[in-house]
Amino acid sequence: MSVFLQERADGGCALYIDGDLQFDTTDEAIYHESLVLPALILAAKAKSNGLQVLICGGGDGLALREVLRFPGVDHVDLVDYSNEVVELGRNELSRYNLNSFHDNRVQVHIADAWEFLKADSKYDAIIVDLTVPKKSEDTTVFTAEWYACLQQHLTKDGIISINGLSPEATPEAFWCLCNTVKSTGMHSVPFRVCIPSFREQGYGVWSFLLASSQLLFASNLKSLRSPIITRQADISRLHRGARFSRESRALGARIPIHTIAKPVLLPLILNQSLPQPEAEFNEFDIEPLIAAIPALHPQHTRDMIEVLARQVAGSIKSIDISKLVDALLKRVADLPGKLIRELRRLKTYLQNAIFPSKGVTRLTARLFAVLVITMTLANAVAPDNAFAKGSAGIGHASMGRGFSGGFAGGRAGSPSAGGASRGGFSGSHPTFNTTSVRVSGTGFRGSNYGRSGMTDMYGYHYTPRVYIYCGGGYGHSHPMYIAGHSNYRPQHNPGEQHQAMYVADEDMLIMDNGDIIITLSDKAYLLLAGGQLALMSVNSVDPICPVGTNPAMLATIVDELKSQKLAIQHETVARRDWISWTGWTSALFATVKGDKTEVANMEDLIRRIDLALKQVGVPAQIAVNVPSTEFTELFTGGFLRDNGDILIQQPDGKWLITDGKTMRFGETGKSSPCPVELKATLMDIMQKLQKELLGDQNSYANELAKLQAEGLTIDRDLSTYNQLYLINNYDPNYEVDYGTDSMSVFKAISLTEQDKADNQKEIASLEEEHRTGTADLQRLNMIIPIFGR
Amino acid sequence: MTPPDEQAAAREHALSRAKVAIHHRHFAEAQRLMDTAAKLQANRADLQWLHDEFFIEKRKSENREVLTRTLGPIVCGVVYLIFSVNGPREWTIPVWISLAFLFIPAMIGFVSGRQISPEQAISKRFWTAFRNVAIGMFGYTTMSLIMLRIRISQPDSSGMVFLVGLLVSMIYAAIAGTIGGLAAKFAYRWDPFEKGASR
Repeated sequence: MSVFLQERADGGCALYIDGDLQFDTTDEAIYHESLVLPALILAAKAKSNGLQVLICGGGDGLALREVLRFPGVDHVDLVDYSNEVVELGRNELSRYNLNSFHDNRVQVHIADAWEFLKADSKYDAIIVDLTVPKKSEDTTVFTAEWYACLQQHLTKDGIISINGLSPEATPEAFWCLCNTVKSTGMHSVPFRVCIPSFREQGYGVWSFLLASSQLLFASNLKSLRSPIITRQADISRLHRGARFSRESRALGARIPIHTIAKPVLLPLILNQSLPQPEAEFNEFDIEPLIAAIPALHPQHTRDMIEVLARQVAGSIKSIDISKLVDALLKRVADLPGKLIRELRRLKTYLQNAIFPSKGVTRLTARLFAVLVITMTLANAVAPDNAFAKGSAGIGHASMGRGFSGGFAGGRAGSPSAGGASRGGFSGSHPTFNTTSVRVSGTGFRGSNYGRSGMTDMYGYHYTPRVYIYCGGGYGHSHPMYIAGHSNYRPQHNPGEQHQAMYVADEDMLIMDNGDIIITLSDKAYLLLAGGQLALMSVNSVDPICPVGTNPAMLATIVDELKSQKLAIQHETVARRDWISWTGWTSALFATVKGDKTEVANMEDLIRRIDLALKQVGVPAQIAVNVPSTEFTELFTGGFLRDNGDILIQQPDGKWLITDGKTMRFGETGKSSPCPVELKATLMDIMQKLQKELLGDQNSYANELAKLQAEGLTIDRDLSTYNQLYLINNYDPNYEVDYGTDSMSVFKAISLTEQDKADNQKEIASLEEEHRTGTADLQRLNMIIPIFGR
Repeated sequence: MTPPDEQAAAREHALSRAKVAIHHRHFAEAQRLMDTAAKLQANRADLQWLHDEFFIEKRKSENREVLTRTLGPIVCGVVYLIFSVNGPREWTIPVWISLAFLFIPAMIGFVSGRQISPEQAISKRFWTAFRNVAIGMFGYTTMSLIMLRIRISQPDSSGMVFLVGLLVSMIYAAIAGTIGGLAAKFAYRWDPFEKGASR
C-alpha cells in the first residue's frame, strides 16, 4: 500500500492511498460529517447516552474526530490494519483530527477487521470508512458475508454507516454495494453527497449508505437534526441525495450481489460502463468481444487490454486451423464418432468456405517474401546503386525544402550591442542539406524556363522579373552616380535588359548573364558583379553608389550557390538515369519528353550558377566597419543612425554619410547636395523595412502565445510524470508514454525538463528579437518623416 | 544373315552409341539402339545396366527441366541484381546495353536451353529460355524504374509513369527474352545427335 500525504503551501493537505484521494482538508468535513453524523443521530434516537461506536478503517482519525464530537459517545474502537496510516493520524494529521487518538474513550486496534470482529462485542453505531478496493483480496470487506458479520455486532437499534462508491462514475459498483448490504436482511438507505475535491479527481458524486436491522427509509433522513454544529455538511438536506432516478434504480435491479464465493465488485469498479458483448455481435467481428473483456487490475487500462487481446487474436488468426484439424483427424481413433464427424465438417468448411484460393495465396505470399528479401538485401548492400545502374542518387530523403537561410535583403546583422540583428545572413553559412532537396515543381519541365519567369532549385516557377542596368559583366567597371568620391555623374548608358533566371533565395536572384541581384525593396536592389557591389534603383540604369563588400557575406553567397548547384546536380543524376532507361519513349509519352526537357534545363541552370560563381569574383578584402553609435542596419554596409544619418560603407572602407539633404564622405568631409535618386532609393528601403518590422511586431503576440501555450503543456506533462514518479514509490524505471515512445519515468522527466529549457530559450530569443525590432521600428518611425526634409 | 564378327561389332557399336545417347539425353535414340543391341543378342547384364542408366538419366532430365522452369527466372533475376549492384561508374551506355541485352540473356538462355532435353522441340527450348530471361529482365527493369522514380518527385504523373514503366519493362523483357531464346535454340548446335532432333 502506498501512502502519500501532499502538503500544500496554503497549509492544507491531501492524503492519497494507492493513488486514490482519501481526503482533502479543504472539504474533508463534508465527507466525514456525512459519514458519521447521520448514523450517530439515528443511533442516539434509541440510546442517547453510553454509545458504543466501532470505526472500521479511518486510520486518519478524521471520522474519529466527528464521533468524539458527538455527545453521548462512551467508547470508540478503531480498527485499521495499516499502522502507517494510524501513525500518520497520530502525528502529521493530529491538527486536523484534533488529537482524537489521545482521547481516553478511544481504543485503537491495528488488526484485520475480520479478526477483530471475532470477539463478541456489540456496537450502537459502526462506521465503515474503508478505501475503495483495488485488488480482489481487498473486496472481502465489501461482501455480503462482511456486512452480515457487522450486523451480528450491532445492538438491536444499532446502525451502520458505510463509505459507498460513486453512483456517477461507477453506477454498477454502487448498486452492487447497495444490493449486497440489502442481501443481509438489513434495511439500507443510500444517499449522495457532492465533494468538490472528489469531483476534481474524476470520482464524480460520492455516496454513503446507512444500514440497520430496524426499519429505515429515506424519509428518516429528513428528520435528522445535528446536536452539534457542522462545519461543512448540511445534515438536514442529506435526504435530497437519497432520491435516485427510475433508470438508475432499474440498473440497480439488474446488478448481482458481491459475495466471497462470487466476487463481482472489482470488475464493476474498474470497468466503467463496459459495452454489452451480446449487442450486434458479428461472427467475424472481434471488436465487440475485445470491448467486453473486463479489466481485473487497477493498473490495466482499456487500451492495454485491447492491445493484448488483439495480439492474442492475431496469434490465433495465424494458426493454420486447417492443418490443426488435419492433425486431429490423424488421431481420430481415440475420438468419439460424433466429434470426428464434426471435425470433418469443419475441415470441409475451412476448405470450401474460408480459403477457396489457398494455393494462390501461399504462392503470392512466397513470391512477395522473396521479392522483399531480395530488395532488402540489395538495398543493404548498395542503397544507391541497386536497381539504378550505379548512379549516385540522393537517397530516400523526405520531401522538404530543407533550406533555411534567407538574406533578408542583404542585411547582415551586427555583432555590436544594440545593433539590428535581424535576417538570416550573419556571416555564418546557412544550413543547407543537399540530400534533402527534391525538385518537385514543374518549373524545369515547361517551355517557360529561360523565357518568362524564374525558377528556384525546387522547380517552382515565379513570375518574370526584368532589370535594366548598365551591363558589362565580369570585370566591367560601372559608371555611377556617386563614384570615386566625386559627386553626381549624368546617366549616359542606354542599359541592357536582363532577366532573372534563378531564385537562389527569396531575396537573391541570378540573372541570365550570371549577375547576382539582392533585392532590398520593390525599387532598390544590390547588384553583385565582377567582385563589385553597387546600390541600384530600378529607376536608374547606372548604379547609385558603390557599396563595400562584406567578405563574409560573399563567402556565404558562394557557399550557398555551390550547395544549391550540388543539390541540383544530384537531382539531375537520377533524372538522367531515368532518361537513359526510358528516353526512347519520349515520342510516345509527354511525361518522358518533359523529363528530357527538365534534365536539359537543370543542366542549363548548373551552367548559370557556375557563371554566377564567376561573377562574384574576388572582392577587395576590407574590414567591416560598424558605426559606433546605435544604428539600424538597412542592408549590408548601409546603416541608419539615431540622428537620422544614413551611412553607406564604400569599397575603400570610408563612409558615405547622408541625411537626405546633403551628403559627405566621412564625418568631417565636405558636404554636397544629396542626389535625388539616392534619397528616393534609401527612403524606399527604409519604408520597406518599416513594413517588415511592423509585420514582425504584429505576429509577435501570436508567436509568443504559441510558445507560452507549448510551455504550459510541457509543465503539465512534467507534473504528470512527477506524480507518476511519486505514486510509484520513486521507481525510476516505471514505464510511461513520452509522445509516441515508451520510456522510464526518470528519462521522461529529464527530457521534459530539457523541453522546458528549450521552450524558455525560444521565448527569450523571441523577446530579444522583439526588443531590437521595436527599437529599430521606433528609429524608422522617427526618421522617415524627417529624412531629406 | 549377319556374320558373327560383324554382328558382334554391330552389337558393341549399338551398345556404345546407346550409352552416348543416354549421356546426351537422346532417349528415343538410346531406346532404339538398345533394342538393336537386344536383337543382336547383347549381354543381358549390359542391357540391364543400360536400362537402369536410361531410366536414371531420364528421371534426372525431367527433374532438370522442371527446375529450369521454376528456378530459371529467379537465377536470372539474381544475375541481374548482381549486375546492377556492381556496375562500375565507367560503364557507358553501350557497355551496359551489351551486358544487359546480350551477354546476360545469352548466357542465361544458353544455360536454360542446355537444361532442356535435346529431344524436346526447339520451340520449347526457345520459349523456356525466353520466359526465364524475360521474367528476370522484367523484374530488374521494373525494380530499377521504381527505385529511380522514387528519387524523382513529379506530381500528377503517376499514371503516365506507370504506363511508361510497364511498356519499357515489357519491351526490354521481350528483347532480352528473344536473345535468351535464340541462345537456347543454339544450345545443342554442336551436339552429335542434334541433326536427329525434332523441330
